[in-house]
Amino acid sequence: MKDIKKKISNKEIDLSLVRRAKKGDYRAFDLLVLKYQSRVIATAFKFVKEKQLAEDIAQEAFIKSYKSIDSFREESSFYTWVYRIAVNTAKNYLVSSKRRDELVISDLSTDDSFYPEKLDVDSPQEILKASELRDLIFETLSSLGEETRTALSLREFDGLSYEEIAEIVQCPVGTVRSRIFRGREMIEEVVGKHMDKNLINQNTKIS
Amino acid sequence: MTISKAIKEKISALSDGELSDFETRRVLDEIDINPELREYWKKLQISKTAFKNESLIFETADVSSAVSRELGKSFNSPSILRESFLTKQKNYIGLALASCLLVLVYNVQTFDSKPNTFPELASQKISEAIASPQSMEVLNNSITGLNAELQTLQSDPKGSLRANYLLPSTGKTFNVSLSPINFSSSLSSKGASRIAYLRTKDGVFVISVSGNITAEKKLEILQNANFFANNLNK
Repeated sequence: MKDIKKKISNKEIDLSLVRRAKKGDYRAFDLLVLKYQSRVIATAFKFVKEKQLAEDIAQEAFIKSYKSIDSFREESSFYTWVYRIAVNTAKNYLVSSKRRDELVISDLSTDDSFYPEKLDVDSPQEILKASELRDLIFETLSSLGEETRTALSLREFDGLSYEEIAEIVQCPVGTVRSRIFRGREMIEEVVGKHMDKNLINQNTKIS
Repeated sequence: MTISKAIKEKISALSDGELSDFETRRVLDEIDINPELREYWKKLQISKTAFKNESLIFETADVSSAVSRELGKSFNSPSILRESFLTKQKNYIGLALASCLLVLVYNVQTFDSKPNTFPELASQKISEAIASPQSMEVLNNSITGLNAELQTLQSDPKGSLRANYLLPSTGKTFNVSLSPINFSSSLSSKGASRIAYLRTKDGVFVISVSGNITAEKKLEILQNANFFANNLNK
């Protein structure tokens, strides 16, 4: 039986970028920041309950992680490592600002699937926007052709490698890569329009 | 397939961990010279987040620019350029205010050789420019208790004024900025670490704090600024 490359973990996905960052390639680290910033902000938000402050803490966490990236031993995923730094930064902030009583004691799992919507986010508009965007993305996925949708779904929902997807749908790996890209292009267009629309709304409100 | 699409396909593969080290390096080189590709990566992450059924609430937040700036790196972000373009068209009143600040900064810079009297003189000039006599006082007082030393005062073409400070005890630096709100809309979400608003009879100004200091210190600076601003408004 052919040895098929199995599911790729998040840890493996990030490894090439992490190793490049360790060699001093900041561009690689920047991509990791872009990838994880919203999750790190969400984590900090659980502690401080204020978006701007959560962004500050996330910022500090990334700065600390870049400065100490040599000490990251790749035993855990990059995200888990940054997550721990962010949690410690948030806790230190709360302690130093004498807000221990606001500390969220509940276990903040490093599980990938958590839902900040369930927290006390005091901006229904932001929740609505997030919900609209999610709906748009899933609608676009549904509207894709079957081959494209299948390849992208197997990658995103089942976490399969390109090689494994190729084996399942019986086509070359390069074709899988193209199909996944094609699907993402359609989705990217929708995401871009949504972001532009919100940007225009924000600017209109400001003026 | 265009070059851009070919690179985007590689970025898509990179996001799945399906790119060789050699190709990864090439993709990073391309992203370096084409900021749109960086934006593409960012949007890719948004859809991935949605597929993982994670929250999208914080997807519009972006600390990457601030992180790179703090670490002494820089990137050309098309979103920042686009916002600047949109913002430029927004408000002529803001432009007038910015012009006032520019004139003031030009004048203020002539005092650079006298650091001891500089804050007072700057205060006076800023007060004249934005018609709020105590506005610079707000900025000066924002650093009360921090034992910070004013290093330089800078301006940019949009009329923002930035005071750069040093904490001699730690060697850390930070800056406190004053900007007309029209030109700081992008600053509030991307540039500055912390912001507060100063309302004057000529409009609203943004006081922002960023730099290599802790979040607590930034908060303290803004609390100071808010305290004095509120007193002014009474």
